[in-house]
Amino acid sequence: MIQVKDIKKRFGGVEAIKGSHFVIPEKSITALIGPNGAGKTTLFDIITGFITPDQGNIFFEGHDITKKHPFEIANMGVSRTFQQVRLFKYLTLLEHLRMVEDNEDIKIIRNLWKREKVDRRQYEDILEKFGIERDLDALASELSYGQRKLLDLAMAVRKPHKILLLDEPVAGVNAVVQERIEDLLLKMKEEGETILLIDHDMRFVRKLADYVIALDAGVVLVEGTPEKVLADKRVLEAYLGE
Amino acid sequence: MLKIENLNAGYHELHVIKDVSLELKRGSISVLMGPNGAGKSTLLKSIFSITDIFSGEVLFEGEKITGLPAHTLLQKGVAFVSQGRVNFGMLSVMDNLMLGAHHVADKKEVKKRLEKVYDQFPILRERQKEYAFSLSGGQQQMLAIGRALMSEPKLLLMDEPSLGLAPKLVKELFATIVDIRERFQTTILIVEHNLKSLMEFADYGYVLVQGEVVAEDECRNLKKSDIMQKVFVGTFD
Repeated sequence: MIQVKDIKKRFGGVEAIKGSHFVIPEKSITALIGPNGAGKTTLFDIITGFITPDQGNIFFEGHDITKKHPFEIANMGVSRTFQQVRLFKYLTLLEHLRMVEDNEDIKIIRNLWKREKVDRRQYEDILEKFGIERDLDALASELSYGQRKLLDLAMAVRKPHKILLLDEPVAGVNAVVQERIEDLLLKMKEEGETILLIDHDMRFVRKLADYVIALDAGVVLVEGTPEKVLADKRVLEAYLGE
Repeated sequence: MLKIENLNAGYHELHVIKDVSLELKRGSISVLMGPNGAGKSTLLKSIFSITDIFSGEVLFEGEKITGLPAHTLLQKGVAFVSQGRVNFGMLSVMDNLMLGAHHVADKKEVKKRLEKVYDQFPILRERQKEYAFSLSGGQQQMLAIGRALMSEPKLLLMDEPSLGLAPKLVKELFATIVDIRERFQTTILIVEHNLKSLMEFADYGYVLVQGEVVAEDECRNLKKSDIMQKVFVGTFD
């Protein structure tokens, strides 16, 4: 579905990505792993148009999207989350969910203001599905960290998309929320979602991912099934040193 | 210098830290490591009394400090640098630093400490009158650490100081942490994911899984241990 071809990116003197090359298969969960500074988030930023690579191309469903703007890529059906959850403090949960449900920008505003026609039940079902035990009219600022993370995920899923890119979906959440997120992602996979995620937690990766790509210092170190990649000595060395 | 005995802690009904005991040597740099949700940050916060403590004791230099309010702990010599480079964005760099010594009445002493922090982080001196929000990520982390150092802590707790920093800055940061230990004569406990670089600098490590310490040793031994490798490749039960 997504093809990353010979991508290189340099920030000043630092070569963050040194010719990365891989393909994200459809209807499966692919995990991008690697120690801090391996270039995982930089690759996410390149795929979603936030950073333009110095060299190489990104193809999404066969189209070259390398030079497209983030909003164009998002509108084509690439939905992503960020490491740090950023919500609108003074908007309600309902407003957050309404905001993302169309890929036409003009509808974002329209959806926000046409509240009277909203069937609240379907939004309450979303909150229930994602385990956010709050009222639709609660403000985002009232949520705990775990709940914000869940709302962020709910928004990424609610947005019409063909692929989900999740940057550390379980970082900083407690074991209960982590388990809920694991269940949600596994269910989504069964329903045919394509997911690319970044995570450090190898137990989580082992449980969820069909395919793992290990990066270190801007290059693909090894890729394959979780068993193969996690058994590779080079991966452990990348994390812990020799 | 810090001793934790059979600590059980968490948030309301959520039991995160399960019967943890550990002891930090004076002047050491220790690392808390483990997968997401293992309770690393919660343990750090429990020392600083910002969680709910169900049972167990925290002893600092022989004195019971379990559950003492954060401002009292700061006066006793414990400082906490939280995750995410938290500063007061609309205050100047200098005002941010001064807040770290708000409990010190002696102005000369405060000035002396400020100079010491500026010597550690010269860029903060250069930018002392600028808003904190205008600093780069690395400089904001220096400011957060600098503010903690203003209290001249005997024990410095740091929650993922390298988060979001470029690899080059991460190495610099860890070297700075070693330097801080020498210059400020402090004992340091760090939660980190970025182990490859940190384990070159740190003395001792604790591996946490689901709220329990499953392994502890000197870093050079820990790196090679079976249990550590199992935790990292996700096969530890």
